Amino acid sequence: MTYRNMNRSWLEKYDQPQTPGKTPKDEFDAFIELSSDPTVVFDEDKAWDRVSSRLSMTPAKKRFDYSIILKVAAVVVLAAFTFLLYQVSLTDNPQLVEVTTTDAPLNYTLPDGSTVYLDANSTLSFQEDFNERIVTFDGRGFYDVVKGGSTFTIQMHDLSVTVLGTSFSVETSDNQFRSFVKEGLVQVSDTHSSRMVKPGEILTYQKSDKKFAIAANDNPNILAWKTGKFIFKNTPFDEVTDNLEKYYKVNFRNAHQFKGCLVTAEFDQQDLTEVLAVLGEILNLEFKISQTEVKTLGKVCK
Amino acid sequence: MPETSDIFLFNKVKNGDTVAFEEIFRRYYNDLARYCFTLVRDETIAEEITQEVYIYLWEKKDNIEISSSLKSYLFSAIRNKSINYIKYELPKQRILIDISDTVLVEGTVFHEKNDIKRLKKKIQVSINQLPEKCKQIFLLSRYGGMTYKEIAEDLDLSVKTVENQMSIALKKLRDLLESDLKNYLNE
Repeated sequence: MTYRNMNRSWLEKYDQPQTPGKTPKDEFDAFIELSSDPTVVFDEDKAWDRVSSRLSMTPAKKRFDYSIILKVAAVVVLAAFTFLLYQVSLTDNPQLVEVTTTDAPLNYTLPDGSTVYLDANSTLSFQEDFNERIVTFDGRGFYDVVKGGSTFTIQMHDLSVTVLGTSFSVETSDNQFRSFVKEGLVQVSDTHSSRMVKPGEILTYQKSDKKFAIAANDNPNILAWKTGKFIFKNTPFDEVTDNLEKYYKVNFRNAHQFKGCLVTAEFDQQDLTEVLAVLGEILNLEFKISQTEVKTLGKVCK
Repeated sequence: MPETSDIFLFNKVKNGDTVAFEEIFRRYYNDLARYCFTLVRDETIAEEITQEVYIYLWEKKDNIEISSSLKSYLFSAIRNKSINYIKYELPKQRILIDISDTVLVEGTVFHEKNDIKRLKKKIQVSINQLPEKCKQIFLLSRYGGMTYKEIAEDLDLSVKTVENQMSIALKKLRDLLESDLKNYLNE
């Protein structure tokens, strides 16, 4: 049977009006009908609460005697109630909650149970009621979003990230946006277009030319800024320091001079002095720390 | 105690009796919402439409005369409102990509019968992914119970166009669901 004929024969089956709930005609019919789910149960109480409050009815649990006097009283009560509601709604405007980190990172739990690990110097803000699951974000953060009825949106200047329930990191700087997805799927959109980022991928967006690039992530330390766990295998020294800088909040001033030195080591939340001692031992180098600056001294590797 | 009759309750509603209104509400809410769900295939929208119908019933109670039965009045109100929703509101809906659903549709073939819940979801999502016009016509015909001629007149299209859109819809659904259908039938 050709495709056209196949279509034709289905079409004939659908040519007659269908009544919902009617016995399905064939397998395809029954199959499609599966989506109607006749077992679904709706929450009557919740629905009634919504409808009665939209009609400004007081919860009608007790029976009223509709004598004139009571009717008048009810109207007065209703009016007072509405006025009260109005007053409450005036003073109870949703508040904007803002969370800002300066020196130290912070693990923050949002009203829906999603968590954000905010790195230092980041800002997160959202409406207190959090009905729409929208946050505004600036800086670097790791999001672990719980699955909810609605999508979860992060707005960052002209970019927005939409997800349903997943974990991923985002990072904005003056000229670049980066997102790494650990689990699930993340959609990143600017005003014109959008891209899907899959687990293990890293998306980079250059603000200057508004272009997206997606690549498989090959850096095992992509989340080390948060976890403090580093794995280096023959990694050039300047790449090692790039990763360390993000977690230890220091600046390796002349690391690029030593990029010929390869490091194989693992660290797990050790103090910076300990990490530097290990590196010094492996590479026969010395480090001089002054405040947040680290200077590397010694012979360049060949 | 026998149930108070609908007409008796509705007459009380006409006099502003909120208790009678609540009784009618609870008596039919789930049936109506479920019926509406078979028409619009979206639980949230189904509840919204059903609640709108009740709100309308209360607000216009003075002007509503029930000729047959309250029950059939409510069901046909749901049907009309659902069809209007499919016709006028659905095309306006901003397309929100449900990411987990997209994965579901693109990535998974179902083998297990106990995956029926996800399978249902997948069918719903497949319908939702049809192009707008296609989806509208498919839903009107399949779930709104309208004939091609009625749809054509309603949407100001030729019957031929409606037919074409239906065959596009069916081909797309078949493409998306073919392997699932086979698996489902083989078990």
